[in-house]
Formats: sequence, C-alpha cells, structure tokens
Amino acid sequence: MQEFKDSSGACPEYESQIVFYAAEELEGAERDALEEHLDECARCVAALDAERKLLEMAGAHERLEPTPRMLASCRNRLEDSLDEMDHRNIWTRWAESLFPAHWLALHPAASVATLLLVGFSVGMLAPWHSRGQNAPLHSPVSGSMASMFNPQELQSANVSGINWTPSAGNQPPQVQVQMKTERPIVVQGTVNDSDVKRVLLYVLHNNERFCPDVRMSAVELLRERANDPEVQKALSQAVLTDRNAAVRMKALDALSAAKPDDASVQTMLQALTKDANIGVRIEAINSLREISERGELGADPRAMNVLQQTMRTDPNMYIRLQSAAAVQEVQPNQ
Amino acid sequence: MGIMGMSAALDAAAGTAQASRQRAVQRAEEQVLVRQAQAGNRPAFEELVRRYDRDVLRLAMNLVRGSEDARDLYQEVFLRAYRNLSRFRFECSFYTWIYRIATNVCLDHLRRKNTRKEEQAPQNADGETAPDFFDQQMEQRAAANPELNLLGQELGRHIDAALDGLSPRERMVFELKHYEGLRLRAIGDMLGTSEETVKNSLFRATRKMRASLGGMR
Repeated sequence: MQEFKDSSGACPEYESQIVFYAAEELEGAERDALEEHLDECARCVAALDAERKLLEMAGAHERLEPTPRMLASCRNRLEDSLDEMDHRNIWTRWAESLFPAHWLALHPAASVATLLLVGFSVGMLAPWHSRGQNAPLHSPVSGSMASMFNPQELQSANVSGINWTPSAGNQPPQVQVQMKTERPIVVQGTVNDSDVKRVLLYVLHNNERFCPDVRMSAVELLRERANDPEVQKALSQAVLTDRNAAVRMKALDALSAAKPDDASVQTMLQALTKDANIGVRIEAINSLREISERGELGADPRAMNVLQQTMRTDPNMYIRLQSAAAVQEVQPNQ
Repeated sequence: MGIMGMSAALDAAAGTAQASRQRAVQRAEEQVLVRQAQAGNRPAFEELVRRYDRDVLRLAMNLVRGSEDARDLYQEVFLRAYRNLSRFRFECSFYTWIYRIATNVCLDHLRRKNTRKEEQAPQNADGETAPDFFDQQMEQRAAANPELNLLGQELGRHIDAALDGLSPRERMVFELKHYEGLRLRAIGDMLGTSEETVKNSLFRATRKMRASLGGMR
C-alpha cells in the first residue's frame, strides 16, 4: 500500500477513470471496463467510495449567492459605464470623421485654431446637451407602482432621486420618485397615492440604504400626511435611528405638525434625553412646545418630568435654558 | 409494458418534445436579441445581460470568495462583451460565449492574485474603511444559521485552503464541474481547449484536493 501513499489507493491504471466515473464523466467502453473491474477489485471500490466522499465534502462548502440587492447594484453600475462608453464613442467617431489624424499632422496652425474653436463650441453647448442627457437612454417604466413592480424589486431598489413640484391651492405636491431596480422605474403621483406613500415609507424604514438627500425629501413629503399613524411611526423611527442629524431634526419637525399620539410624544422625549446632537435636542424641545401650545400634549406628566430633568442636567446651557422656558409654557397648558 | 406504463412513457416523450421546442424558441429569441444588440440596441444588450448576469456574478463570487472583487469582475465581463459584441459569430451559444469571457476574466484575476499573494496586506486591518454593506448582509445571514457555523467554519477553512492550492485553471475546472455542474465538454468549449485537457486539469485538481483534505476524512 505504501506505493499508493499520494494517490487514491486504486490500481494505477484505473485511478484517473475512477475520478471521472465519480464525476459522471466516464462513458462507453471505458465505463463498462471500469464497472467490470470494480466487481472484482476491493481496492478500487474503496477508492471510488473515498472519491465520492471527497466530492461530498467539497460539496458541503458554503456557496455564495448574489443577493437581489447586489445584483441590482451591479446592474446599475454597468448601466452607468455603458452610458459613459456610448457617450465617449459618439464623440470619438464624430471627431475622427471630422478631423482625420493625418490632416491634423499636415496642418499644425489650422489644427490649433480648429481645436480651439471646437473646444469653445463644446464648452458652450455641453451644458445644453447634458441637460437633454439626464433622461435614461432607454425609457423607464413609469406609473403606478402596484402594477409596475413587486415587493422584491422594492427591496433591491435604489432611489436615485425624488423630485416634486408644488400644486395649485391646497393640493399636495406632485411627486416623481426615480428608482433603479433591475430596471429603471419612475413612480409618480401625490403623497396621497398609496404607491408613492409606500416608497417614501420604505425609504425611512430602510434609511441605511438611501442617501441623506433622499431621506430628507421623503420626510418633507410625508409631513403632508403626518396625521397618518403609519407615517408617524416611520417619522418616529427616523428620529430615533437615522444617522443624519438633519434628517432627525426634520422628522421631529414633521412629527410636531401632526396631532401627536402617545408614541410620537415618547419619541420626542427620547430624542431630548438621548440624542447626542444639540440641534436635535433643541428641535425636540421646540416640538414639545409646539404641540403644547396647540393643547395637544395632554395631561401626561412624563413630558414635564423630562423637561424638568433636562433643565437641571443637560450638559448644554442653552438647552437647559430652553427646557426651563418650555417648563413655564407647558405647565399652564397641562 | 401495460397501458399505464405506455401512457406514462408517451407523457414523458411529449414533455421532452415540449421542452425541446421551448429551448428552440428561446435560442431563436436569443439570436434576435443578439442581432439587435449588435446593431446598437442597448435594451437588447441589457436583456441579454439580465439572462446570464446572476450566473456570472455567482461564479465570480465563488471563485474569488469576495463580493467587491466579484463586482469588478462582473463589470469587466459585461463591458468586454459589449465592446466585442460585433465579433460574436453565432458559432456557439451566447451563453457559452459570455461564459468564455467570464472564465477568461476570472482566470486573469486568479493569476494576478496568485502572483500578489505574498505582498498582500491582511484584510480588515485597523484603520480600514467600514465593511461593505453587502458583505455584512452575507455575514449576518451566515451567522444566523448555527448549523452553517458549526459545520461550515472548520470544514470551510480546509476546503478554502485546498482550493487555494490549485492552479487557476484547475480551480476553474473544479468549480465549473463540481459546483456549477457543467459537463467537461462544455467546460472545454468555454475555456477554448479540448475535453482531454480539461480532464487532465480535473484529475490534477482532484489529486491535490485529496492530498489537502486527506486528514479531514
């Protein structure tokens, strides 16, 4: 057996065939011959058994699977690169057809003048051209989200921009959410449309996935529906978990615009006592003062207790003063 | 064969014929898409990408065992395909062609990695930027599976080490055969080599794996 120390232990002439047999890659006469041999050779049977165990062991290795999010991000990146490549190709072809390299070499003075002229023209015209290029090269799917994409797509979506235009009178603004999923999607409507609302809530509930500008826009738009319990919940989550202080402040401001429920008040109090950012703590005091002014703080003694405690213990003097002022205002209203 | 047996056999034959017709329709559709893409139709190219990119990304992820490198490879594969689309002459399926590009790009990467291995700084050293979000997702998923933790960690390390000991070409053949489930002939087509050469690579890879994992059995 010593002679097979580095091999499988099979008869040398069958060693490779056992490997291919275990991999189901042995056919015809070779297969028949090996099977006949296996009937009478215990050593090769043991080697085949060991080979199958080896493959089984290798098969137990953890396989990595791309997540939908990863795939979507790869597709988005590829799309950007293709856009860039197409754009570059158009300019290269245009320049080459207009000024062949040999012509430029033969007329140096004319070449310099021409290049200056072209550079100037490009500088003047490029901004107009690029404005036209903002639209994706292929038309995005647009319309109502319920019919246009499914929850899995929402999970892998990257919101690339939220635009809105004010409407006349008291109507809510018209919103356009541009999303990059495995295909580009534009969701349009007002914040009263359940589809638009769903995307905006998704942005706040999954704030780690979206840039601060998108989160700020989502808060701003959801402020219109701040009385909606689902919206209040999302805004509260933004106050307590968003990494960006400006978003937390904006969410507090939006929460104070609504008739607050118990959870919203609790969120404001938590922001006041726990947020490390001074601006957010000041915004929390302002929110409490605002709802107290409207007589909506209720008879809950927790607000008064927290404000009194902040008045005494907050490390920032301005916050201590503001808390004292709030205590004065809140007391008569309770 | 009884009537029931004959009926089952006829059903199976009808199923096979239907599957074969479906494959033919898919191939025809794909040819149309490729021709449109060759004529400069971007959406057609993107549709082709969507058909195969999950497989390409999975192959890259498992070969390089890292999502950041895999993303770069994905990008490289499809940009190369886009640039060279006019050279595709329908001599093989588009799937084989795209996989040929993918295996070439991954092989180049593995070769470069092998030459750099000794110079590489350890990963996750202090002062490095925050871990990638997608990597975290995968780690969390693995961490949430206790069975994977217990069984996988020790064995996984050994298998990783054994796979690392293979040459890039052996690694590729082993991956395509035993993890992607491809036939050796198809692997030969993808790698632009004969089935016999692929067999040799598989045999060498298996021998090395056996030697590395011998102690685990």
